[in-house]
Amino acid sequence: MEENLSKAVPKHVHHHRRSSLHGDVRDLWTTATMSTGNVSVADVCEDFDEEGRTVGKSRRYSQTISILENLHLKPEEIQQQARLELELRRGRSLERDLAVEEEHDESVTSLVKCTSESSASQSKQMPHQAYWTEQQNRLPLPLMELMEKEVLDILSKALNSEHPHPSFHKTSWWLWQGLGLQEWSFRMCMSCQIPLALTNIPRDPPKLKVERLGTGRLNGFLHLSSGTTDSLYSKGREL
Amino acid sequence: MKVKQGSFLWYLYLDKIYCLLSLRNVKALMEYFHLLDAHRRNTLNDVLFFHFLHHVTNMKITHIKMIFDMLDWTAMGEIGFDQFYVLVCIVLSHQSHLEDQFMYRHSRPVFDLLDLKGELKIDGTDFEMYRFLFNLKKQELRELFHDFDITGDRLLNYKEFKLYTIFCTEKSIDRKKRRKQREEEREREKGKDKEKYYQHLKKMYSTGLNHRSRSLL
Repeated sequence: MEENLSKAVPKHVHHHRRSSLHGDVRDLWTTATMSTGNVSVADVCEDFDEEGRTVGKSRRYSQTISILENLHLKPEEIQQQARLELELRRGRSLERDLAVEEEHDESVTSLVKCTSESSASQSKQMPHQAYWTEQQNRLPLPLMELMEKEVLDILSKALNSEHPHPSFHKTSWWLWQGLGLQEWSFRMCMSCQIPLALTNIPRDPPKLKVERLGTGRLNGFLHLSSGTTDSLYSKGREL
Repeated sequence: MKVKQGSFLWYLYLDKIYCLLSLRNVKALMEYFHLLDAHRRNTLNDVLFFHFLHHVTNMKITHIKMIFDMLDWTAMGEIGFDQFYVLVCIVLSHQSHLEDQFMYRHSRPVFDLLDLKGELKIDGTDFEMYRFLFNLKKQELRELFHDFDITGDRLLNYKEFKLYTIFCTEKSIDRKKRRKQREEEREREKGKDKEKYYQHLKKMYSTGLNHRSRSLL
């Protein structure tokens, strides 16, 4: 999976493929769809138990299909793979549950069956909890890596575009070029005067707008992402 | 103005009705913003902003600088996450051809952004500078000011702008309907042509058989 992720995204992808993949890109964000809403939380989210509490921090991200791999697959194949992964994960989590309970009490195998049945009945009562939990708490792994890689490219370009501070030692400047994202940002915090210091390109200052047009309106804009459409217009009328 | 394929923004998508990102997309965007925020100030300065847009889109350098000036209305030389979010929504609406819908749904913030002087009115020259954001042509802009400048002062106040956005969305809905109708008609014609072709083939086949049978007899 890491090898596949390290491959560069092909540059020339046809537009019709992008449009056909646009609906599939949404599927890549999660393997738990609304149709599989009756799946229990633990089956889908490795870090959560049936009641939605975090179990462990061993894995931050789910093993979703690599987006880069999927660029080469047809939509039907993508959906099939997603279903297969979900079933595999279900099987793995069930095996894990069984193994843990057998370690504690081997004689209570019938109890294990009863608990699994009761968990299934609980999951029926909370049909979409797994979906919403995953929606709100997790980022898919390939996208996170893509994000970090892109930010690293942008920051290194920004760094290269600025002239280094005259007092900065040359050797340590070139050392920075090979640093990863975390080290880079750490070092930037340490010596913030260097190249990416706040710069104001000297020019005529733009006219300031009236103070009331501060972040108030755009705070209303942000609120819309949670679905409250009325807040924007009411705030606009108030101001 | 296009988002580069394979970039992070390319994988985000706007809701088609409200022209906003989903909660999950916003969360991912926040992570992205915090990664870009090298100085840990919850802001992006002009250098970072320029390189971000230059890397992720095919915008010209002058356009990027103009957008920064537009978003940095406090003239601090940096923009926060709110402004970053608005910019991403504008870029994605342009990418998904939802500019009219976006302007209609968020007419107030768009009006405030285009009101560069803070006079509660949009100047024609200012609007023309930023028409690339909403994919407006020169001719459309002239018609806009001609048809919707009710007060006649060659400036658009908020009500006039709102009327324009309503008109635009209705026009785009009509256009989509007409496109659908044209496509359906084309498909029907194709279907008819196919039927005619098959009937023609059948005739040819049957006449051919008749000739053969007669020749045998």
